Amino acid sequence: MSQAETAGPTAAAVRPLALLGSELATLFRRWRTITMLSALAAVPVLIGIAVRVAGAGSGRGPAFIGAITDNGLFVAFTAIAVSIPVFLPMTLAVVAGDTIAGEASLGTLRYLLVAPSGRLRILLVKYAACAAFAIAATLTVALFGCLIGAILFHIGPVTLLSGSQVGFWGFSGRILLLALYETVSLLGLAAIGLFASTLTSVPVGAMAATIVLAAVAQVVDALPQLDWIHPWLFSHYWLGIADVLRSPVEWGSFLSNLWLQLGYLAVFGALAYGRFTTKDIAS
Amino acid sequence: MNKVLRWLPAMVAPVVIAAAVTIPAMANADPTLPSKTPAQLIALIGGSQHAAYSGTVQESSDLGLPDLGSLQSATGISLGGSSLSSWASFLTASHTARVFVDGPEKQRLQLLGSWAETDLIHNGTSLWEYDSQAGSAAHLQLSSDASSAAHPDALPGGTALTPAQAAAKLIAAITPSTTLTVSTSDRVAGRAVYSLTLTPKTSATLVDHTTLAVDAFTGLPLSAAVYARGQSAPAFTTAFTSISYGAPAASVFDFTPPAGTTVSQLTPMELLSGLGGSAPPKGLGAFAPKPKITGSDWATIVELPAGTGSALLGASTGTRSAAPDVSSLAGSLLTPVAGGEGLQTALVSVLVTADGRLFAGAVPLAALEAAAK
Repeated sequence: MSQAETAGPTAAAVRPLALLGSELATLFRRWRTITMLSALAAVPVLIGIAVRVAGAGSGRGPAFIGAITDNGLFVAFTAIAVSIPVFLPMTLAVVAGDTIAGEASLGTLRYLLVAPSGRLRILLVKYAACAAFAIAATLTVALFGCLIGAILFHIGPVTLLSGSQVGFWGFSGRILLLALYETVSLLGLAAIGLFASTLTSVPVGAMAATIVLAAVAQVVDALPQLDWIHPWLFSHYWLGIADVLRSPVEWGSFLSNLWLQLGYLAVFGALAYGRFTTKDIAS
Repeated sequence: MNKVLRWLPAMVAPVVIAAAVTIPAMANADPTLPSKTPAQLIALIGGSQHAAYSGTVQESSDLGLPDLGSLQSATGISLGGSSLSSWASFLTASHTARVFVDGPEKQRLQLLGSWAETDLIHNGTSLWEYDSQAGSAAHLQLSSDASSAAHPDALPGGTALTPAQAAAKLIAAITPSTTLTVSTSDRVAGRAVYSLTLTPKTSATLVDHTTLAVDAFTGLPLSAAVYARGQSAPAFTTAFTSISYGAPAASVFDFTPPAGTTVSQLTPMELLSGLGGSAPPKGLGAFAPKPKITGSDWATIVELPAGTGSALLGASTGTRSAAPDVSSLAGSLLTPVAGGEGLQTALVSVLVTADGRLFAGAVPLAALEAAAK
């Protein structure tokens, strides 16, 4: 830290952003990241093509799938609802599990620590990169949903669950709110992944642990015998996105979700800090 | 040691979160309110007719019935073109609804489902029902008299009496059969409330007691619960989980059916026959014979004459094969008892005798069997 202090206030103020910039550039230039975002983009495309070819069916299937033939913009809603239980947590777990353990396995963590950036700053930058990936992932699903819906189907004013209709700007606001809701939903899981990543130098282990936790949380959430624990599971509000599509917007679940995720961030962020700052870095 | 210090946030974070969760709950305990008599409290409720507020209501019931959801959709009870099953399921499952109220002329109820919503919008002389899943809406034009009567909070005859007079009348009517007590040490949705407890004096009923929580400052009823004899959890409860006073935006009460919606126009008579059910062939006519009332107050037993029970439930006579969807509902609920088939829930019992008479009341099944003899 003494070196950072001698480097002057300007350098210290610029460096965190520079570190974040290089981290984001590394993350989004990776083939793995691009592949995962492409896979997420394929979800709405597949839904759109399947409904176009086979029809919406008789009311069974994921949320809003029956509404797609009337209004293509519902592809975006359906795609987000389909992605949130598996695809979004899985891709995020890969990114979060790789944060520290990936550097450790490549032997680059040592060099990162030689630079006078401090371990806390590295953790913060790594977590911010995870959050950035969560934003990119949810926006990818939403935007490709709108695009494929507009290409394959008729689009028009969107009817909300309460029976009122919104035009283009109202719809854009809702879809951004939906993406924000899902980004917030993934913040807790990202913190868990970050902590898991500080525990090991095998990134696959941290990723697998995070994915398994996401699956277990959702299984527990589905068991009525354990309903006392449901409000405390990080996955509890994942499917609450329908509340964004009511008029007026039901903010209750959005705020409950936000507080819950911040709680997970505080607990697992603190655990990651404790582990990472006391760890002997050998590789 | 320095290493221990670095684990400090990890130890502190759960403690802080636990404190943040528990301290507000403790700080809200036990409001201190001036004591009120039951009559004063009922007068306070009567004064809340013109309240404007919005809030969230949670409803749940534990009547000991099986889940009727699938059966109800099979019976095809419908209101105009839209399904009533979302309303009827109030009997068995728990529900969340948002309520917007601006005086007696403007109300909106939104029943929140998963990926779905059922709305009731009352604005002046117009009443809309909208079902997002069915994509259907029903419209009812109310006469100006009916619109005030449709308001759930409107007390009958309340226009002629002051709230205090109406309260005194009500108290005089119910005290012979019921003990009224008021307690002040409770909160509902963060608001200090008076709790009015009504305990039946007779032991012949299944109802142990019912409670009504009333906002101490606005007089608005914030929760109601019915407790069955021998149960610690309420058999039926509905309560605000959050409420904020003040007029909701006027646009909330505007409703235009969105494009692509099936709209049906209803008259009040059609509405009633729709509620009666389309599956029983006689519909509203089934209720036409005058019911016979035995017992009094809490232990009242309603008897419907021969033919009603079989027409309504398709149970005892040979109509099972003719109306399989209805009989599946009845058959899953009714169990054979002495003198017919009966259903006992935590609060209400129903008995269909072998000759087709139907008995119902908030009394044990044995009392219905005795009345049927």
